Amino acid sequence: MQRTLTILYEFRDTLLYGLGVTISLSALSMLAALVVGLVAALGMLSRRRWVRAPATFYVEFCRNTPILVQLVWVHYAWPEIFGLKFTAFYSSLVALTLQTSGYLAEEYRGGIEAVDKGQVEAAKSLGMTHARLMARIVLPQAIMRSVPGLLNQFVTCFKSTSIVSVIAVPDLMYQAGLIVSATFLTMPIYTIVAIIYFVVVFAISRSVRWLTRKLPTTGYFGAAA
Amino acid sequence: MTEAADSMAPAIAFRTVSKSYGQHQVLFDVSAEIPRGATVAVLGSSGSGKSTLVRCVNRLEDFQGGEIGVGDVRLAPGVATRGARKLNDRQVAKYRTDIGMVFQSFNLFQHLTVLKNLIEAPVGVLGWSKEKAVARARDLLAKVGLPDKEEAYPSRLSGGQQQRIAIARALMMEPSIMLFDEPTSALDPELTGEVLSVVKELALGGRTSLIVTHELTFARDVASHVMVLDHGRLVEFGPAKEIFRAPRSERTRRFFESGGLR
Ligand SMILES: Nc1ncnc2c1ncn2[C@@H]1O[C@H](COP(=O)(O)OP(=O)(O)OP(=O)(O)O)[C@@H](O)[C@H]1O
Ligand SMILES: [Mg+2]
Repeated sequence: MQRTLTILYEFRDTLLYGLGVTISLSALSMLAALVVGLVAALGMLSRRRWVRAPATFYVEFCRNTPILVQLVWVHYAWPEIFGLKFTAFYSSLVALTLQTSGYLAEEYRGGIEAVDKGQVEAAKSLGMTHARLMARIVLPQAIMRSVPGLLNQFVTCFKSTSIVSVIAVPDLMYQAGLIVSATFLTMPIYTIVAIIYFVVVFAISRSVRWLTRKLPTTGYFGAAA
Repeated sequence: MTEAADSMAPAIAFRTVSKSYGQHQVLFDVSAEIPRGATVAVLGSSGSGKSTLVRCVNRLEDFQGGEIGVGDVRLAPGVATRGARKLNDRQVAKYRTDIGMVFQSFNLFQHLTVLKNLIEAPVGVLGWSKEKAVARARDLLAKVGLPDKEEAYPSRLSGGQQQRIAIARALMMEPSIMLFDEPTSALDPELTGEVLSVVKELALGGRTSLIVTHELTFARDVASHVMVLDHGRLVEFGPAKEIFRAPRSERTRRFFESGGLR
């Protein structure tokens, strides 16, 4: 125990740097996915086939390919397919956004479809166009409904980041690998890393659970209670 | 067209309107001319096509045969026109602003307070100033007897209160036509009175209304005209007085009897 703490202290900068990369990667990809996922969800529900088909394909593709495959594909194949060459960090960001936006799109879609059709008819009968009633009536309610699901996806997204070390993004996992190869302290270092992941993910999922329970007492949810 | 002739033109003209859901035909050649300013009770047993007919007027439903003339707009299967011009989605939306609708299930916007439910469309769709909309909303809330509910969310209100708000929301737009689809059917019996009196006092005057209802006493009280549908066919249409006194069809007579009239 004493020794573990000493090691932790000795390599704190390296590990903290890794943790910083992990957190920023997951936060940025989550933010991007919140937007991309919403656009994809609206696309899937579009009345126009030529919008609906590609959006549905995008979402299915993102959800049905493993994150590791997406990561490697973006990093090594996109330069040839699309002429897009990113640094390892940006490739990771793109891959995580793909994956997460696919799941978020499904969360949004569920939220949108759950909005009562009667309100849509009322909005139409008041002269609202499709765009206006989506923006003013459906989406505000759909997004509120989706919040618990969206927050849960954040936990998944955070955990997925550990895969990016395979293309040498200096995240927590990668930094730990560096320390291990320099010191051969395999057991203590990976144990420390496991504990750090656990503590952070546990903290996030507990906050998510707290928020989800808190939510129904605010705004119109509060009125419904 | 001269002004006199124009005011004689029906507000709504159904001409051999037919509609099917897939193989299932629910309206058969419905024809009727609704005079401007009429209050029409739309009667008939469950599944006879009352909702469907009324929803065709504001294009919540399309239909497969015939046409409906509403003012200078002509609704036909898959297309709405004004004169020689086809209306696009935006223009159809605009067309609906002149037709208020009240639903059985109220359909208030759950995420908005009562006041915001009322001003949303006048401000967003008609482009009124917020001050004007709020002033009119307060006036209407007072008239429907709910002046203190501005800040309430719909889910906190009783069904009767929600329906009175929904009527106020439709009236905000100052429509020349009002459609009611069983406005009291979802309410406990003791709450129907407050809603029906709001319909009568506030919603009917000076405009053309179609009211689908099972409240025969109310229909007899307010209607100038009566339509009776039976399995998608219009079996009776005419001035309310005559029809309530002496229904022409056997079907209508039995319908009145089952509803406790006479
Ligand atoms: N969306 C739909 N899809 C298929 N069939 C429908 C649909 N809406 C209505 N129908 C059918 O059309 C017929 C007429 O329905 P409509 O709702 O107009 O009747 P109604 O006279 O309003 O009845 P109620 O008094 O029960 O409201 C019914 O047989 C109904 O089952
Ligand atoms: Mg009905």
